[in-house]
Amino acid sequence: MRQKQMYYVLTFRTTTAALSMERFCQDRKIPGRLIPLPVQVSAGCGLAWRIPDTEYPVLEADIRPKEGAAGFWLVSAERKIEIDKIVKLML
Amino acid sequence: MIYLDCAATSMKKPKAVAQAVSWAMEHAGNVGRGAYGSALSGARCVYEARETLAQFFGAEDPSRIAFTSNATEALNAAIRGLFSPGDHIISTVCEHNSVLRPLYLLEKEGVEVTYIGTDTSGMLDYSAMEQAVQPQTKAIIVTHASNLTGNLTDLARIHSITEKTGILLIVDASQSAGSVPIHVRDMGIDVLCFTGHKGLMGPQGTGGIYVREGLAIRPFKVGGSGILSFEREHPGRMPEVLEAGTMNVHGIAGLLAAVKYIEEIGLSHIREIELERVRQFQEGIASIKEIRLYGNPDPRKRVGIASVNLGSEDSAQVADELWETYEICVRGGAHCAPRMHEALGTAGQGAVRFSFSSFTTEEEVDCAIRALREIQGA
Repeated sequence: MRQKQMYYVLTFRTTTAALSMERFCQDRKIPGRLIPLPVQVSAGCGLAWRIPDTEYPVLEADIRPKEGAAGFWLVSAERKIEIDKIVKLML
Repeated sequence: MIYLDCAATSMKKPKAVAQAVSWAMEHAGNVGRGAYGSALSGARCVYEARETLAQFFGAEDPSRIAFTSNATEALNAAIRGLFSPGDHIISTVCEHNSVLRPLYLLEKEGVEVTYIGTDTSGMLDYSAMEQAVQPQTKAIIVTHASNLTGNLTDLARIHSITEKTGILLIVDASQSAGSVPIHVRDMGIDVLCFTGHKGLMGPQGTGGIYVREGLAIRPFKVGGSGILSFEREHPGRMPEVLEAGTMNVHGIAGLLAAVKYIEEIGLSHIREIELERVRQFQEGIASIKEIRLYGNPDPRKRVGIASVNLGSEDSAQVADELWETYEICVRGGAHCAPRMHEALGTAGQGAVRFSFSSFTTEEEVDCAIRALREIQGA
């Protein structure tokens, strides 16, 4: 297996939200990539966004917890992306 | 061959459409079913198509657009997913069977439906629509343009009713998307159902549905979603809630290329050409004896459709003669619009529908006019 590193993994309730996150990060030149949803987070398939933990603060600046519910919103001028979970993982 | 059946499908399409389909067949994997290169290529293509269509129709964001196999599937999703026994719906006689038949199913299940009529030119009775609203009315379901007469519906007037009463406005844009501007938020549209292969000029087998933020539809089709696999219920969020099963990424790639083409040359330019062709056709046929044009006589109040009859001739036979003798493709018969034909008094005869696109040339319209003149012997 490849050598493990520490990442933040963002998960979503829809594939569309995952793709929207990719587009947001590409537009802002924020590193990261789409990966299969790790089983440590959930066994339900799907896409997740993986970003090195050292780069995460740049992305975190646009993320807010939902009010009165689990999960987060990333809101920018162009996009509103619903995030299910944010987990720090060795992958 | 002269193709004048664009209301059935836009057979002539921008070259980029076939190229995009071909690209997708070689490079796109199954959307949302993997994080490797080809699966992501497909997913990115579909996402870009959502973004492009969301912008094209003025939707809140790309997630509000779900792809379907055609407008019929989109209309079934809306009509079968939003109502319960005891509800009342207002619709019209102008509707295609893709609206009528799902409504007939609901009627069997205890939903009441009122069908608003038209005048002799097929123009809706908007006053009757307003008067039909009851306390249990949940929605007005209406076509944006009749597939038989081409008459455009006054959606601003209907929105004034839905806004005042708080009921849903569900629009069938099968004949208008790609021909006239649609901005769902400005027009107060809660659900927009569209096909990809007519005015939008994408491949057959494509279509979609816009669902306003905050409105939840029960899916009539559930199954594979690529996400939340251990949950027994299909994911409830847009757009995946309405996209069970493998997506038609090849078709959607073509649809994306088509909509980009429309944006490049401009919807107003397309509308202008279609209007010119309809106007030319109407002026050209005006002196043919015993010809009857259906719908609003003002072409600006129609999409690129002109339906006619020659005396009492069977429309199917006129359409067949146009093909056999002149190689002109038009649609005769009932056009899956039985109530519209009943309202126009053409249930027995049907009508010969000519429909034009921005790819139709002046010469082709002239040929159609000459052919009708010869057939009628005038």
